[in-house]
Amino acid sequence: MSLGVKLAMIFLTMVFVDNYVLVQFLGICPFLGVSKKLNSAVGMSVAVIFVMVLATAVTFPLYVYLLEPNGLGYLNTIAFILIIATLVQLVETVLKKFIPSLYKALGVYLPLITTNCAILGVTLLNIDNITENGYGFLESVVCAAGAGVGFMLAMVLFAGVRQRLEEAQPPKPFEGLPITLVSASLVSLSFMSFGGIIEAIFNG
Amino acid sequence: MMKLLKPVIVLTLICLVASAGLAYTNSVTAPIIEENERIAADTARKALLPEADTFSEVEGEFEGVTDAYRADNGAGYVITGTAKGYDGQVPVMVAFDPDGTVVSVYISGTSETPGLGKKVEEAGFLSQFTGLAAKTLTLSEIDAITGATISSNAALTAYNYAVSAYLTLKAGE
Amino acid sequence: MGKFSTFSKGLLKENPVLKLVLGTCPTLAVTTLAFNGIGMGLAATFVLICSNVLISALRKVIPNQVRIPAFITVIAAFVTIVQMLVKVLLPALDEALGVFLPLITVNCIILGRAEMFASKNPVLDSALDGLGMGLGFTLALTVMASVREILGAGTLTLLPGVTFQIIPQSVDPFGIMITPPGGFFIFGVTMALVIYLEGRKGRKIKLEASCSSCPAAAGCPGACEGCDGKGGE
Repeated sequence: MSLGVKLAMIFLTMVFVDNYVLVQFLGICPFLGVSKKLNSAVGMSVAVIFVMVLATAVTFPLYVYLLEPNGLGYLNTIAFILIIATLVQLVETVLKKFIPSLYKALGVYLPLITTNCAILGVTLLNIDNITENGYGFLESVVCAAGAGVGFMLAMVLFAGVRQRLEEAQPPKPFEGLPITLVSASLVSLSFMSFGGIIEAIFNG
Repeated sequence: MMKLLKPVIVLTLICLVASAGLAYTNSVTAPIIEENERIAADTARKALLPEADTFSEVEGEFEGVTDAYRADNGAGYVITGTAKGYDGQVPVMVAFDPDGTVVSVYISGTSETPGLGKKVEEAGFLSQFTGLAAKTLTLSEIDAITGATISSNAALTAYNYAVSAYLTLKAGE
Repeated sequence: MGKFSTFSKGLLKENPVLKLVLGTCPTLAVTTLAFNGIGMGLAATFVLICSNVLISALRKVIPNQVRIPAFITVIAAFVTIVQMLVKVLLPALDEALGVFLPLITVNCIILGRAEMFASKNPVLDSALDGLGMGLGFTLALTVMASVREILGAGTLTLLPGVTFQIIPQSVDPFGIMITPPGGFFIFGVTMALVIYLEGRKGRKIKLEASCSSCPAAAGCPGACEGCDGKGGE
């Protein structure tokens, strides 16, 4: 398999088959909290994609070239979360100073990203992928981008579903969050049908 | 000045103490974890190939194979193939006797869906491989688990990887 | 507030999962087997008690402006210790929880209690608060996991190897309950049940996954409106 095909397969698998929100249950808090309006869903997702790719690009070499060779692999959780917290702070400062228009759009979502488990999740899972699937730097970054785009797809689809829900009149106890979760269940069900499709496309 | 430095010093101290604590815990637990894993793997190999006494790892790279062990008394091979299932890798351990017959197959520790794909770990699925001659199979030749085609297919692919590795090793003997 | 209510409020009255809607990711992800729910809950309880005690003890030393990174470091350290202990004592649990074991680090319940309780209260109270909240989390996870396992696989696994057949094997289990859609569904129904029961007692509660419960929001005034879709652009 050529590298390009392999990368495309990783990307599409992360978006559809292993969707972070709907299949792997990572990043549920923002999925439920920020998906009420389409524009905030998109803003949050763009910030997530950006930080996911950046965080992976930093943590992957750090683990492979610094922690692992020195037998410090067990420090990965603590090192990664500190890097993510620092990166988020850094991105916020840089955007504020140099690209104020982008900061205005994304700034409010950035502080929430540090504790978004999808970000720490993608950096940790990419480390597992080194031994399990033989991922290198490029594969890991593409995997992170796919995870972020998958997050965006779930958020945008669900924002549409929620706008319909505003009109719905469920039984009293189901009003609010319960009916939102039941709807999420149906959206998640539709993603289950992607299982196997991506592999079948690429392997003929 | 002190006001500016204090946060830096406190944060650095916390990081240092935390790392020291982790280094200590790791030094205590790491050997136990390694030993546990080794014992678990050795016990599993022995259960698969009861005739064998001790095992030694076979050098070499085979597609989709995480490790291959040869019984030191010539009782056969235990080879672990792996393939991607519904959720993570599905590692399949296959034991071959010297005549090229599959003695037993073992799958454990997958993250497949309990009640569905996880059924590949059960005897009902695994026993169909016992006694077969070492040759690669297709999905239509086995009883796949209903509703869990991806997991069944992953188990089969991993099994085929192990078989191919065995045939290569056997040819080189 | 008495010592007992400091402990007991986390169990039902302020149950972190069912009332405060925190820690939703592990609640959905690991509740496919009753034992996984129990194991995840107890691992988080251990981290919660340890981090609450240490943060409470250090509350006068940690400067205000770096408190969030300091809390995260303390929590991440305890999570790594738990991860090592679980690998030694129960390798099967480590395998089952996978990435969600290290992800306890970013579980909102733990950072939330550090920020809202431990950084303002004495050590003993913080320990009791951690114990109560941790057990409340464990309780919610165990209930969710038991329902999903019984419906989805027909069994109930309380310990590795201790599995009870609840629905006879001749009946095909309701497999979808164990899959991700089933997780969302059971979580939604459980919440509706909580709202219904509270409603019968004459209390009206509205559950909302909003940033008011998100500890990180404390540092970002503008963020909360963004979350609700009220502010932002």
